[in-house]
Amino acid sequence: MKIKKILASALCLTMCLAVTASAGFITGCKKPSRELVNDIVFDEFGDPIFTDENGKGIRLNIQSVIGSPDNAKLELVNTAFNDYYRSSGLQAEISSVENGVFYQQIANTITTDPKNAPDVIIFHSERLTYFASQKILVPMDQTFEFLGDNNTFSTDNYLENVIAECYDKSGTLYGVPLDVHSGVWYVRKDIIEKNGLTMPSTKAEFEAVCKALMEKKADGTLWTRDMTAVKSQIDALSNPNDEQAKQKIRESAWKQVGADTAANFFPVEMSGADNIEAGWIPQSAVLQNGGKLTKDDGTPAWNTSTGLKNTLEMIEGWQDKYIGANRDSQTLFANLGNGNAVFGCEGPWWLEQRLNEYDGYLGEGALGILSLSGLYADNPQSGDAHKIYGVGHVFSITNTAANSSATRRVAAALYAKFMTENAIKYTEGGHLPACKSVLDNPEYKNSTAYNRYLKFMGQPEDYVMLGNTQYFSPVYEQLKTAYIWTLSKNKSGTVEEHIKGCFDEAMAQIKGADDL
Amino acid sequence: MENQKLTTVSEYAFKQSKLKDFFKRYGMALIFIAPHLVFFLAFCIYPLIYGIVMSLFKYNIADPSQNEWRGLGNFITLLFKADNIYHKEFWYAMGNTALFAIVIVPLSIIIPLFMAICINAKPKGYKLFRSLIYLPSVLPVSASGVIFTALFGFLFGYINQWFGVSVDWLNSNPMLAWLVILLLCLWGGWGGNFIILNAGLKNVDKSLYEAAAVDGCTGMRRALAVTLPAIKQQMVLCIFNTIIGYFGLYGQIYVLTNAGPITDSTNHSTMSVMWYIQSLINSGNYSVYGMVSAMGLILGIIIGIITAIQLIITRERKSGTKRSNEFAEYVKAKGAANE
Repeated sequence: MKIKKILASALCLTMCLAVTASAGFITGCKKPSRELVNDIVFDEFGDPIFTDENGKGIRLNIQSVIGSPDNAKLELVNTAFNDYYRSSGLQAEISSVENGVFYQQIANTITTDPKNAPDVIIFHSERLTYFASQKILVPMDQTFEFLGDNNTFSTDNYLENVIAECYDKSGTLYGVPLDVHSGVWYVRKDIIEKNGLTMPSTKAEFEAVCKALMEKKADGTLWTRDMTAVKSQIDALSNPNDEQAKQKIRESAWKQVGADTAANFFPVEMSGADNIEAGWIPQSAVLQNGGKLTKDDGTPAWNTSTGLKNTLEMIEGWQDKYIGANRDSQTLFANLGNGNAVFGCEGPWWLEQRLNEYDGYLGEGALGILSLSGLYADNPQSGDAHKIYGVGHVFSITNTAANSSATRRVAAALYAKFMTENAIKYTEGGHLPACKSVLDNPEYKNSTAYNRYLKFMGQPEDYVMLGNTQYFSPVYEQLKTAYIWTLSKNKSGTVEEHIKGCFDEAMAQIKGADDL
Repeated sequence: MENQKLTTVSEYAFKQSKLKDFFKRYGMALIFIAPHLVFFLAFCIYPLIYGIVMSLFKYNIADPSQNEWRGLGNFITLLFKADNIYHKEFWYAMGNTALFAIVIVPLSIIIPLFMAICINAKPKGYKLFRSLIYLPSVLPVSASGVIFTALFGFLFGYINQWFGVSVDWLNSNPMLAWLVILLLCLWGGWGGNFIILNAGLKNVDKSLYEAAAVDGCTGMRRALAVTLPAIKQQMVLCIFNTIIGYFGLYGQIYVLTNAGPITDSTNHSTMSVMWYIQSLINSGNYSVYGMVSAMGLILGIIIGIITAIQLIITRERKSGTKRSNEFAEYVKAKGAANE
């Protein structure tokens, strides 16, 4: 009996402790005191000193959602930062965290494990307003003010359309934008030109090219070329520098095919299942037709856009006509490569790799790049037709105990400034810089990356962000759902009904979140 | 000094011997039980209580200063506020989960039972078959999910290739998606029930079969009249374990459909309760944890009710020899009466 009593007592004690501790924590616990301590010391030149009396410097812990392949480019800029600030005792280390894991864990890490929490986070700026409202971040502009007369940071040095997403509702700056980007169409330009067609720049032209290609397929007069066949022959060459032999292989690879020999040829690679373009095309369709993605109160505004409806109806009509039945993100580059498709929408971070591949095997210019600009405008002459929905990465300082030190916070702010102002190498990863001094830098304009692909991604000034909404998930995800439904095999109802359904769902989610 | 209570030698000796006696009697038991007890209290009881307390708040993981007392508000929303999105989606997911559990239970019993009966007949190579039957249960859901994705994939799936069809099993018709989930659950889950039922069959008193044979009872009649009643306890255990297990359905859905296909703006057609709870945690809304805890507790209560039903059903046998004692008393009384 006694042992039972002891066990029961232990159980009761634990339960009491649990109730007391949890209730106490939940009700009474405020964030640990993170009042900013002005411990900053300047040298004779007015620059902050980052080393303590023992000569120990500051090592910033950076967490980034930027993954492979472009995190390697970011690392190059980080190395430059470490070289520049080494003598000052300031160093930074970036670790990449997978998107889903990052957004799920960052709040918890900052709240419950501040010692391991990052000093700076690099994330998508569309979430900044919500993060700021959750007190995960600390104001950036106030941090720079510590530098006094030596503060060279200016918001004027950043594109207004991009930095606009770095403010919270009250107008406080919480981040420094690194870049802006959107999806691009990877285009088999060689196939288009071989068939006597030209690269499209409007919705009508895009459809016309698809129609012409399918007509040629029906006639048996469609020219296609399989890069994988060319690749195997070129790789087998005894002299890899024999350009004449390569050209001969490239020319001999062209085949004229028809419906019987190229049954799998469909010009457009799209899928409702998991293709990434769901996050760019419907959004750009709204913007290019004069619509807005969010209202001033952060709720969705895309439901009234006729441009969105028209674009989704157009894409719906492409199914089994210009879009093959058996397509998904896994088949995109494979079908482009083997000549079974001509247009495929993907992230710009693959541009460098793909261009190297196509230039090497099919010759320069075989792969074309088409930005989303103008492609979904009902009226290509309208002032909004050039707009592109943009997603950007931003540097923000986290609200951790460590960052209550002004010196550390200033170090983090200087890191953000340095990284964004020296992002030329990073742009090679297929991102347009948000910093004007980078955009105006001759080194950037003359760079291989700019001339090969960045200049085809549209003007950075034409990119429009989601806006300062704390309802990112309902606003953005429900618009994506509308697009996914368009290509779904199991849909019912009209596009218009479904846009309304998605909008109602977004509003219900917002109401549910507000009512919590 | 005068008021100070002095301990006498005999009292001291008594206390010491009592303590010594206690540790002598229970020390070893405490040592053995302590590791489990510590972990049980730390990782089961404490989180449970914490979860209950969380469910009474609007609980924000990013900014605890936003936490607000809600009392039973989260439960009231989930149970009664039909226009609330959490209510709607929670009960939609609960309906999916319950229906799936009900559908899969007969199959999860009949198939392993059939296999157990076959194995129990000890055909040639039965040991190999026994191992093969249990083998799928050894695989983690992620691995068996990869196998089923390879089988039922749309573009390169073996089923489509073998049978020359072009069916998008996982991303078109919700019924097809549910069918694949069901097959994965059956295939990956029959091993456990098979082991339990097989053990039950082995323990059936052989004399019952002999008696049945004397009475001319063979084949199907013998299976229905002797075998099944004899393994009733194991079957009840399997039935309830299966129901309870599939109320926690998550991994299979995650690896195969991720709750798709989406049939309209609101409808994740293969969404289970656990998937819904997990999706809310991953949604990026840091204030949803109180509501999520309430959902977890309601699910726990439902599972608790099912468990209670199981306990009531199996109580008779578990309570010992009540019926046999009654029967003995009856025989005794009858014998006495005859005398």
